[in-house]
Order: sequence, then structure tokens, then C-alpha cells
Amino acid sequence: MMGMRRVLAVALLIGAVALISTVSRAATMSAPEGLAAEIKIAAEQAKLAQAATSMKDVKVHLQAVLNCIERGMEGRCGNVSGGMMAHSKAMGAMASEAVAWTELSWDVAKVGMKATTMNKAKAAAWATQVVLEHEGGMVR
Amino acid sequence: MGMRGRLFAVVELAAAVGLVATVSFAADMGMMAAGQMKTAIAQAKAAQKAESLSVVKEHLQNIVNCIEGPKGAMFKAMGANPCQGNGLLADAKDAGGKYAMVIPWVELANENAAAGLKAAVIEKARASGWAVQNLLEHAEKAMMGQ
Repeated sequence: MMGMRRVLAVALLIGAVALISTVSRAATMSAPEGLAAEIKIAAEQAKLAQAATSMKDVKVHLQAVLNCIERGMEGRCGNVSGGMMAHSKAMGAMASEAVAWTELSWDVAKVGMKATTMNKAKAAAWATQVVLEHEGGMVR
Repeated sequence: MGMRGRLFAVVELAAAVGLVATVSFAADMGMMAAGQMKTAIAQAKAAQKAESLSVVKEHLQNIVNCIEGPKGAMFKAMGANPCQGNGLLADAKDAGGKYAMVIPWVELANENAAAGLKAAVIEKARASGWAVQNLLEHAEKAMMGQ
């Protein structure tokens, strides 16, 4: 019985250390690191939107893109907190350029959210992905 | 040939003429749409190279004018219109087939150009120009069956 408790305690400790390390890594990311990580996740969501087979699913993925742009962890963008917009604004000399591209990806994803046809929503998802990848190339 | 035979011949001739006219109209509209597409892409490239926000916006307005045509909600006369016809959207719809299929992309390009027209900074307006170019080039490839 005592042995089992010890194993459980060790497992819990390992889990806690892993969680702290993940959260702390996300919290200590610089603006370019955070932005690059969020762009990658958002671009992946834009790709998934294009592959989705229902309008509802296209929009779920486009909403995930918007969450990455606006809020980061609260809106679930991997384990990165802050959001693309906040990180873009913290990009120093590159801030105005980064903000412009982040706003553009938001505009395009938003058009997709308002779309009434799959073709239009998927076209918007394609454009969102292209814009995000272009921004990702600038941040790298 | 009896009366009935003659009547059939006339009807067939009228149908053939109608078909030729329809096909020819669609082909004309397709050529018109392809020309408008090329002009709009050139304007999107020019927008990205422009040195001032006002000039970027002039090019973006030309794109909107090319896409929407003179009857468009956001059309704004600015001297000579670089595009002829009824606008890329209207002419692509009239052309039908592969031209009509790219309409969502053209609409999206138009919305991006409109977003660029509202931009307060040149970076955003140019980025919109970049997106418009990419969307229209993607649509052009689909139009040309590439």
C-alpha cells in the first residue's frame, strides 16, 4: 500500500513539474517566438478549415484562427498566451509591419466567418493561410 | 417540303442562331473578364510599390472599380477607368463556366481591397494589395484552367 502511494506521489510530482515547465516556457517566450508559434498554429487551423466538409467545421477552425490572433491561451492557441495581436505590437521596429499583417489575417478570417457559402468560406480560409504564412516568413 | 417541314427548319435555324449568339456572348464576356483580371492584378502590384498611402489607395480604388464596374456600390469615378466592361464580377457571371467558379475569390479580393481603402497606415494598405494580388492570381489560374 505504502509502495503504491509512493509511486502515485512520484507520478504526480513529475506531472506537476512538466506542467510548470510548459507554462513557464510559454510565459517566457519573447514576442517574436510567441508570434511565430501562434502563426504556425493559426496557419494549421486555416488549413484544417479548407479541408473541412461542413460549413460549421470550416467556421470552427476559422474561429480558432481568430482566437490565436486575439487572445492566445484563453482562446486556446496551443500553449502560447497573449495572442498574435499583442505579440505583434511588442515586435519593436517590426511592430507596424507585424500589426498590419496580423490585422489582415483577422480581416480575411472574419470574412470567412460571415460567408454564406462553403466556396467563399474556404476561399477565405485559403487567403488566411497565405497571409499567415507570409507573416510567418517575415517573423522568422 | 411541306409547311410543317419549313416551320421546323425555321425554328431550327432560329435556335442555332440563338445558340451561336449565346456562346459568342459568353466568350466575349470571358475575354472581358480575363482582361479586367489582368488589369486588377497590375493595379495590386502597383499598390504594393507605391510610396504614399494616398497613391496605394488610388490603386486599390482602381481594383474595386475593375471588380465592381460602374454600377458597383463602392465604384468611385477617378478619371479614366483602367477597366472596360461591366466589372469583373458581372462579366465573369455572364461568361459562366470556369469564369463563374472564381467569383468567391474575386469577391474576397474586392473585400480585401475595400479593407485596404480603410487603412490608416501604409503597411496595412500595402498588405491588402498583396492579398488582393494573391487572390486574383489564384483566381486567374483557375480561370485559365491551370
